[in-house]
Amino acid sequence: MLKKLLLYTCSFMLTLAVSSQELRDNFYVKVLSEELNRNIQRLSLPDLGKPFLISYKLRNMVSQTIRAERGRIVTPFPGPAATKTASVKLLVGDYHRNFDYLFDDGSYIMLPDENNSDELRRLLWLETDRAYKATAQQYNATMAALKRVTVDQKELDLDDLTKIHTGVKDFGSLPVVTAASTEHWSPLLQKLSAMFVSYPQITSSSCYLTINHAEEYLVSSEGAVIRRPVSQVVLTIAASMPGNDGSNIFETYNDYVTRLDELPDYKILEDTTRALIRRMLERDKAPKFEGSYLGPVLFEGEALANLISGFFRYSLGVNRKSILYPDNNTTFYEDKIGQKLIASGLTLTALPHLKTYDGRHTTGAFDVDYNGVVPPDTLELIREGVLKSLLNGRTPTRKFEAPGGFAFGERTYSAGVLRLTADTVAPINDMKKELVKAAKEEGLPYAYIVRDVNVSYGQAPYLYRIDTATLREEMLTGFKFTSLNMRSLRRFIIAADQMHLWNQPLYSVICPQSMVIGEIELEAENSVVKAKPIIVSNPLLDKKPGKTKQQKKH
Amino acid sequence: MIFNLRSGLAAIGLTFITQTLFAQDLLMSTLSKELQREFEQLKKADDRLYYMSYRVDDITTYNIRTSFGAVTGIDSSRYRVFSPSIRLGSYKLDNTHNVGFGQFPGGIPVVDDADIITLAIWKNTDNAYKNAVQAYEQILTNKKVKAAEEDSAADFSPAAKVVYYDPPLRYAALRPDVEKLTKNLVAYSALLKNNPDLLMGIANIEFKIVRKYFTDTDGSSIIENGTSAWQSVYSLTKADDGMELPLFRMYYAYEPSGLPSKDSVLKDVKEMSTKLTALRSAPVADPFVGPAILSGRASGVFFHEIFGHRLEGKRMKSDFDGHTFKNKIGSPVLPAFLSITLDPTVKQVGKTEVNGFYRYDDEGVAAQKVDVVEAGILRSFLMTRTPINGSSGSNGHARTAPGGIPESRQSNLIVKASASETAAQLKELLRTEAKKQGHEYGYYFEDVQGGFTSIGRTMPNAFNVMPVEVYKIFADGRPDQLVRGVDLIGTPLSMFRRIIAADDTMETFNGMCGSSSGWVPVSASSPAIFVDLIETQKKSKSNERLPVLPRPDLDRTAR
Repeated sequence: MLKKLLLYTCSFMLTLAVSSQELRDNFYVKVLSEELNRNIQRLSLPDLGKPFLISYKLRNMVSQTIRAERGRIVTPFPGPAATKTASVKLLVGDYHRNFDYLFDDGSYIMLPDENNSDELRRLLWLETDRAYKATAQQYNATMAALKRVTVDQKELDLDDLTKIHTGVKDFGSLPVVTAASTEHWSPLLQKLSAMFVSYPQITSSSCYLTINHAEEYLVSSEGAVIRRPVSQVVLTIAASMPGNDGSNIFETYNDYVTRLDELPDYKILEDTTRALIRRMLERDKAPKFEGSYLGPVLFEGEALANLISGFFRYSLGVNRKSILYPDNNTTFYEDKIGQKLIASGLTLTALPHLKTYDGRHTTGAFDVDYNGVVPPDTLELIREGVLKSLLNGRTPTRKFEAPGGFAFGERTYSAGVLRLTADTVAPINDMKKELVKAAKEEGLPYAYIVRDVNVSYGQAPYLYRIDTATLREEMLTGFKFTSLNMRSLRRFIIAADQMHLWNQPLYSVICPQSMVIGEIELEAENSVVKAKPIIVSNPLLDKKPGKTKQQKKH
Repeated sequence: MIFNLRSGLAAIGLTFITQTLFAQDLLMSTLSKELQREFEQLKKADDRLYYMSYRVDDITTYNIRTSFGAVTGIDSSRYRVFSPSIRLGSYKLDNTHNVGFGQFPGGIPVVDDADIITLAIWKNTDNAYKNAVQAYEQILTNKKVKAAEEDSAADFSPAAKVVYYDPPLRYAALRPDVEKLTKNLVAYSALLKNNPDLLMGIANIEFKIVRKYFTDTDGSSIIENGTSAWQSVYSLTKADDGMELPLFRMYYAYEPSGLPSKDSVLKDVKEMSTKLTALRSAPVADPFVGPAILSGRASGVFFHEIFGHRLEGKRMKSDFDGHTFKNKIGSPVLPAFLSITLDPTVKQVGKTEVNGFYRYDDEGVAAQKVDVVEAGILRSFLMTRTPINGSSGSNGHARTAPGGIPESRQSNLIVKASASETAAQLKELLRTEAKKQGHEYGYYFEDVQGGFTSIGRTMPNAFNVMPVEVYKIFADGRPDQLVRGVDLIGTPLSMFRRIIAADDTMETFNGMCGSSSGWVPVSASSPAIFVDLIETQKKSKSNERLPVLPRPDLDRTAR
């Protein structure tokens, strides 16, 4: 057995070695490495610090959009388009003091279509030179500014950047999309978009497929040589119509996947489109929410995933305190480690490596982070309501000195895949009963359900009111949530016993199918301003009967 | 929509072939029908509405970009810009009164479907109407609270009904030979790579196919086709003091096939490369007041900037305009040997194709040749359908970039001299004048990258022509000396009277002119002129030092 294991280990090491050499021989890696080596060795101006770290990122992307409206393809050139960009990170000083966490150059350069090493290197050369001069200037200016302030010694003692040893890692090349796999989508999109033609009151509608596939390279003077693929596919169905009250009724459906073959089949999309149209028409006739409400609300499906993503996606990252100026606007969650943030029945975990869930690919999973650091398999962020950890990258803080592997960009972090679990659950079919029960306990005649709607910036365009006596549901519009935020989850009541994966752009949420949260506050939407309706009549409604058919004969 | 041609050459041909000729006419019939419907309903709702027009620019572009011998991009795009114009009030006073902004253009999908097109028109028209109402109310209020304006002419005037249709475009036939053009551009920019002094070496081409649609409530209906091919070669070096030294070569033709031969461009590029190296070590010119010669191209830009912009009629309606020539019709404004014409009806000046040709302007008026200066006497302005005191009736010079509000703009400016010298005689005149003024030298401005001028009242009415190739001409006959870092500046009225002579050549500068209605294609053709007194100032310059390391392909240490 031991022999077998050793044999496996040897063959694995051999595979890795071959793969490493192949990656080192890759055209982009060679170009990036050659220019990087020249610059790290010799880039220096008299009496100015040399760069101690240079890293190059290159993104080779192929994008394609096919868009249909009212049964027609409206994208003039639906073929794929390729773009290449690169960015240079250059630091002056040393690992201890370089102010990396304070400044973000943020600039990138467009690279030529042609794989011409001289031209690629020329562009990198000019950008590296620019970055060096700008960074050296900024470094010296910041060192001078530091002399004007008194800083807490513990903060001053922290390094500005953690050393890492990443090595050569190849996670795959540019995902290939064949013409055949996209071509059959044109007629499907045409058919789907043609479903809106029968509804002349819907004045804007489109169905489109967007594919963004890329390979990202990272080469650094620390020895990193990394390649990783990125796959993003989104199918969108969107429509809008002027409402009777002058408001714009807008509905959109997005399906984010990493592979074209994971998109729903046509029959499901047809049903989705039909439901979307039905909802728009229903919204136009729906009564307005009146008065106010404080009580339990049932969040279902996408609405719950949006809520969780909105609460946690950008908040649970480490923030380094500036040693130059006070910052009163940032919440430093690091100081709240060990404190109860949400209900004790809820646990939140980052699962960055989770590639599939329930047979579907996650859009958020990653093998290495933005800096080339491998994240842990799991990281429990909140256990039973108590904050246990945070997402971090290479910027050390007092409680997070080691690189976490969650960097998503310069000073932004991502869990990739975020899972919320609940310890109080009920069968999914009983969730409405649970809502009604909670409402009745508070003596409320009604409760509310937010169902399969995009809760964006903490607001939703419609919800359903349920009569606690008759269980009759009615759609309502014209309301708003008051103070819906992470703290709202302290009033968690119960969740469905089934979990579901919700994909978002480069992010995935795995959470219960639905959840009842208590003490949600609702009030009537009190805006007194609305755009005036279009003065001239809708041309589609104005058409004489039979005209559409006649025109189509052309 | 940008489409990468490299990955879809087959698809693009197919797309264009399947873009039916019927679709091009469908757009006009849909525009006309919806215009009528909108006008009828809006007029019922608001009887102040008296005129509407729709413009659509249907634009197809092909772009090929190369740098130092590498292909940096090949792509194509197709889009339609919709510009509704709505007038409330009356010809005398309407919502456009002295408003040079506020157009809200929209897009129309590139698809032959009347319903999709109509929906886009309908939504954009509503937006335009609501903006017009707001602007009109504001103008009426301004009339009440502000003093009477100097110009009392009406805001708009009727124009003859025009019906003109160019035949449908056959896009497949117009498709350029991308492969051949790319090879040529690669060769041009590769030649620049051979020069170690150069930091950049770019050769690009843009071929644009435009089909413009215009229809209005007066019954005009115009479809005009246009094509333009711009080939440019651009390179940059840097002097040790940080001064960036660019040189350009621009080539214009209606179609790529009309561009100069590969050999002739390669010769130009070689010369340009040599000149850039010479510029790196050329001395920086000090500020100077004295005699100068402007080459035909430099002179063309000079007249476009400091003269042409002051003949644009519509801007004179505003009390904020400098009105340099407003009351000078019939008066001498230039030396008697000079005449200037603005002529959008010509496609060539001499043998050179010029960029300012069109049949109908953006208000649906036929383009007209305008003799603005005859033998030094000012005769006319460039007019739109907006009259000014003393000048009325459009002469077809209302122009705008897609989506803008048409303004009086230049077309093909042609300067002619009734008496001329040879180039050698002009140089001798300069030497004599330099001696007379006690100067060791005068200047020769060979090429310019453009210029700008201020025509308002708050800032001094100065101009700045930006030369890129300037020589000192020594009075004692020593060889000419290339210098760098000099701008030609001055004020217009004092400059015009210093023009002493012109030579017997004609050079053309084709370019894009940017003003309040956006970028429009123009040209300026002129002989070289001798000016007995010009003023120069030092050009602003970068203080960024040269890159620390050598260009990678030249770095022997690293190889």
